[in-house]
Parts: sequence; structure tokens; C-alpha cells
Amino acid sequence: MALSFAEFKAALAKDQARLDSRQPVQGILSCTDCETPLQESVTGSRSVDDGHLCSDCYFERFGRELDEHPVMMPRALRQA
Amino acid sequence: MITYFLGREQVDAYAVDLVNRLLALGEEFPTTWFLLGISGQNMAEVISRHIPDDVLAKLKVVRVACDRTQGEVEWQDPFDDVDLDKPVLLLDSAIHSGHTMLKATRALADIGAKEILTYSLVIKAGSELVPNYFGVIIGDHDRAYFLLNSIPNNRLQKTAPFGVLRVLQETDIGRTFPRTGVPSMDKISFSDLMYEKTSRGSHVYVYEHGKQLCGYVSFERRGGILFIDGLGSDQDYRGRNIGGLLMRWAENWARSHKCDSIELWALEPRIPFYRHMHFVEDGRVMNLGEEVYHLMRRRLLYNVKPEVA
Repeated sequence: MALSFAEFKAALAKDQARLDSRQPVQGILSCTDCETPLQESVTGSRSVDDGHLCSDCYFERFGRELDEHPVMMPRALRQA
Repeated sequence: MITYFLGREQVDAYAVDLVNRLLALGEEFPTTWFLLGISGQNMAEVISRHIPDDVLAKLKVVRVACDRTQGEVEWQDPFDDVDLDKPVLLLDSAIHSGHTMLKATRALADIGAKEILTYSLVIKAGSELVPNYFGVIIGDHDRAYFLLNSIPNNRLQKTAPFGVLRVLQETDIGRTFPRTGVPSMDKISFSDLMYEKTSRGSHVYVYEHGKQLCGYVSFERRGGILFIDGLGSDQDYRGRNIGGLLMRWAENWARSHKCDSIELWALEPRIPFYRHMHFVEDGRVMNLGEEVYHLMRRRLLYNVKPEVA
């Protein structure tokens, strides 16, 4: 049976408490790296091949790549 | 990019108006509400505070999840007791591309719902679906904050090193350039970057930690595309996410200047990493003999299609 509004409000309060304590909630994706429940405007939510990442973890992954493999477009240098 | 803040009073005012319009429907008032995601649920809770108790007692609720990337609609609650011949309300708090709500309306139609009222507090101007009722239209690159316990600050990094990210200055010329360990990159100087900044209008930022310039990023705006010309950090700062911080700033800059996507040239062996991070190959290849570069692009907003050069 569908939820009554009172049942819905109770379920929402429970889910919100879980979100506030960074626990997984049904229907909400979690960050693959840090398991934070993802909320677009709060944590960011970026899709990658092995799932979704919060913005912090996304840029940390990028940082590890850029440490080893910086980005540079080839150019003629003045070498001044 | 504009950030809109809707305080509790504003959200309540929109909720009151919606309730009045729904009540005015009389017999057509939707007694089953389908709520999209946690944001739709939070919006419904606010709206419900303005509904008379006797009407609220008759409402049924079904929570709906939809993974934007998989595109599948999931009914989180059973609803075999719902009469789908009567009007239903599909509710969200913010619509970006419109794809999720469109999928949900089609899923409802597929199971027999006939009168599907739709509502969102915020919609982006480029949304492919326009709900029957909506509160605020914002630009495709803009964002709206509301019903949040805390509003996230923009941030460069979570932990040290805490330095200063700033624009390249003439006084940086002659200073030690970050040693990335890549021979070709380590031939660059700040003089070269200042030349590009001055002659091409490149945007060059450096990260200064203490007295050391430990990283840099150089990018150009090309219409709706932010092209990252160069980004590197000093080997002494490996593992400290300087590169991630610089990339993060580049993206923030891009969004605030209404760019749709980010591009960079990636060396061929690094393509798997960029594909993993959902960059796509543009198709343009630069073959320099020993080094082959591929132009990679990632869209910044899922509701805005990147322009193609």
C-alpha cells in the first residue's frame, strides 16, 4: 500500500537523520570512494566509470593523476 | 553564474500558492503524490504544512527514485491501492534537464495514470519538460539553494597545504618554476606563461605555499569551452592534491563564466584515465612523432549540451 502522509513524514525524518550522519539511504547514490550520500547541491555528484563521486573525491582522484601526468599542450618556448 | 537563495519564507509562499491552486481543483485535487528523490520529498513536506488536515488525511504518497545516468525509474513504495484513474501529482523541487521528470511521467503513463499533474519549485530555462506548475525559472548555468541545513561554501581543498591561489604576476618572472618531472614541461618558465597571458589573454593562476610557487594552471575561454592549456605541480608536493585543487578552480571559473565544457589535450597513454572520468574524445589528434595527443572534453552540466567547435 502507498504511504499515508504521516507514514511518509516519519520515513522522511528517518532518512534525513541518516543523511545528516552520512549513512546510506535507499534511492540515494553514495560516493564510491568515501561513501557519503550524494546530494547534488551539497556534495556534488559526478559520474565516473566505477560509480559516482562527491566533488571532493573527484578532484582528489584527478589530483593523483595530475601529480604523475600534468597537462601540457606542446608549444615553442622562448626559454627566457 | 547566478546563485539564487530561497529562504524558508519564500519557499513557504510558493507552497501556499500551490496548495491554493490544487484545492481550487476541487474533485480534481490529486490525492496521490509521487515524490521524486529526497528533494521532492522535502518539498512535499513543506507543501503539506499548508494543507488542511482533513485533506492531508486522504493523501497517499509514493516515493520515486531515478538514477540520472541509468535512466531507470524505481517505485520505492508499493501502490496497488492507488486509483490511477484519478489525478496524481508528480513533484520535485528542482528540474535541470527535465529528463528525470519526463521519464517518471512516462513511467506513470505506462502503468495507466491518466491525469498527471507536475510541479517543481525551480526549473532551468532549458529544461526539456515544463511542469504544469512551477515556482522559479533560472538560467541553465545558474543554481538555486533552498531547504538546506547548511549551504556549502566553494572550496579548493579539504586539507593542507593551505597556500594562496592567485593570478600570475610580473614579479613571478624569474622565480623557480614547479618541477613536475616531465622534461618538456620543466623547460617552461613563468616568463613564457606571462607572455601567453599578455599576448593571448590566457588566464594563469599559481599556487603559492609559503614562498614556493608549487603549481600552476593556464586556461583560455573559447566560446562555451574552457580549454586547459597547462596544469602541473611540483614533485615536492606530490600526494597533496595541488593538481586537484587547480583543476577544481578551473572548473569553478568555467561554470561562473557560463562555459559548457572543459577541454584539454591528453597524451595517448592517459586516455583510459580521462575516459574513466567521463571525458570523451573530440576526434582531433595531434601526432608529434613520439607523442600523440588526443583532445578530450567533459561537459560541465548535464542539462547543458556542449557546443562543438
